[in-house]
Amino acid sequence: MLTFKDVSKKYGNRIALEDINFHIEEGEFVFLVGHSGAGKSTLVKLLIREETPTSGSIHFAGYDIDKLSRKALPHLRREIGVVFQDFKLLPRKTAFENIAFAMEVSDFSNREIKKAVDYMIDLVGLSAKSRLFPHQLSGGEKQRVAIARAMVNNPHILIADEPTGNLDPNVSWDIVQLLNKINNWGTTILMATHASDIVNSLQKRVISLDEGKIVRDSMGGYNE
Amino acid sequence: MIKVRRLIKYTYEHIRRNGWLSFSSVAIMTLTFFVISIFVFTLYSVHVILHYYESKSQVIVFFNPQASQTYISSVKTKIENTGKATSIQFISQEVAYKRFVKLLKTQNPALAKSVDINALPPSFEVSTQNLSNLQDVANTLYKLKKNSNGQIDNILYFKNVVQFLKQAVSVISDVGLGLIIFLGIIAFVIIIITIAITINSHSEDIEIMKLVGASNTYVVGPFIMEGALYGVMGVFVSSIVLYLIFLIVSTYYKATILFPLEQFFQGVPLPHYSLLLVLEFIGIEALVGIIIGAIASSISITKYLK
Repeated sequence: MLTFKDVSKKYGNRIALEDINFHIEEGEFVFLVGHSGAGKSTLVKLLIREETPTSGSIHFAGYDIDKLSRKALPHLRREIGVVFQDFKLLPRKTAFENIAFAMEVSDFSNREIKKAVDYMIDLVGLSAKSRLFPHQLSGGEKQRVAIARAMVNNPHILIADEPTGNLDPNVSWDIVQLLNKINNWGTTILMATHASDIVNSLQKRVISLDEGKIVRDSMGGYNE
Repeated sequence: MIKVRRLIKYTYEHIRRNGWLSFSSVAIMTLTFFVISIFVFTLYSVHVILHYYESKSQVIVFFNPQASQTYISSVKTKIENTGKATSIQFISQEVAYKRFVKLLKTQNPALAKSVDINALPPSFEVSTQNLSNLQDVANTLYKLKKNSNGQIDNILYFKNVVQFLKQAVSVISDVGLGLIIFLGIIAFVIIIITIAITINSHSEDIEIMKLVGASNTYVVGPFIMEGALYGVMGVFVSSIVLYLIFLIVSTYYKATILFPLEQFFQGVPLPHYSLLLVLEFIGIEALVGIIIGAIASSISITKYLK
């Protein structure tokens, strides 16, 4: 479903990623690990086409991401759900409105939106807080809203870029459990993290990056 | 329909969030269209008045009292042949005498009695559609005069007054147009800046919109609508202000402003502004406002998205 083939990314003379090759099957849960600056965020940016590779090709669910036109970009983005460390919620919108926003841009009707958002908000366990604004929610709750927003368009893959980076260990574990649950329902998950305890406890496939290169791609744990 | 409703919703959110900025944009648009309206109406009025004076201006050819009837008729034919005269009125010695007496009766009755009818020349009063035609007719007459063996006595042509008026109008038009363009550019730039600030305060929204798959059209729509709305609002507010001014002047300053104006332009058919004409004008202005606002905000948002 997702293939990186000989992908390299350079910023001037600095190499951010070099000869990246991997393939992810539908339904997999993959950790992307590595130190800060190892290239995790660049890889995520290439995947959502915020950046283009210097060389190589990226294929995802029928899209040639590296050759994608500006016009086709919104369609790709609707197939990919993204969750960030800093949540990226709109402060002036309620939890419900934040999730609904992702469907509004895809021109769904209000009725369809209400049905889907109610379902998602229940799934992430925030039904009682759907009318609250982000500043009235805890970090973990905000991340749940972000996950609900990423999932509401029923994407092929959910990319989580350091989703637990700003959260307490207990809350982090809840978030990972939620992602695991979503994966069990069939959604592919690619989670960039450097939290070794989480990676070790789940024992999933780990792609490890170091100085822009893949140094390991196998099942199991991870030592930071 | 759902797209339109969301477009309106987001536009409203933008304007509400930048209350004072939106207010100042509408204010500058109002000022621009206020000045434009005043200039357009003034110029239109002046053109109507000028046209009246133009059509009223004449070239008068005086014949020697001894000129033959045949010669006078031949001159009339030659004036007609230019195809430029709208009216050629023959003033016989009798008519000239009556006019003269009438004019002098009140001022100098003694002089009026002493005038001999034979001393007054017969003449043609020639009117044309506009000044350049009048000039052509005058030129024809000057040529005829040279070979008239004194049968044409004199040619009277008041071109300077009308030409002065024409020049004045042309200067007013140029200054007005310059001012309108200047204000238009300022309004345009202010909208670009307003939208740029709006965009800045929405940069997070735009980033997230794009992340969740919003198309460029979807992101751009509310901003363009916002700019167009500033334009339309400016037109309507300025129209209301102008109407109020008109109402106040016609109610409270009838004696001090309107009456002297009417006296001054007595006999001149002043332009009539029908409701339809005013509405048409507001409609055109609104269209211009929409175009200025929409283009200015497109420039702003396109620059940002790039």
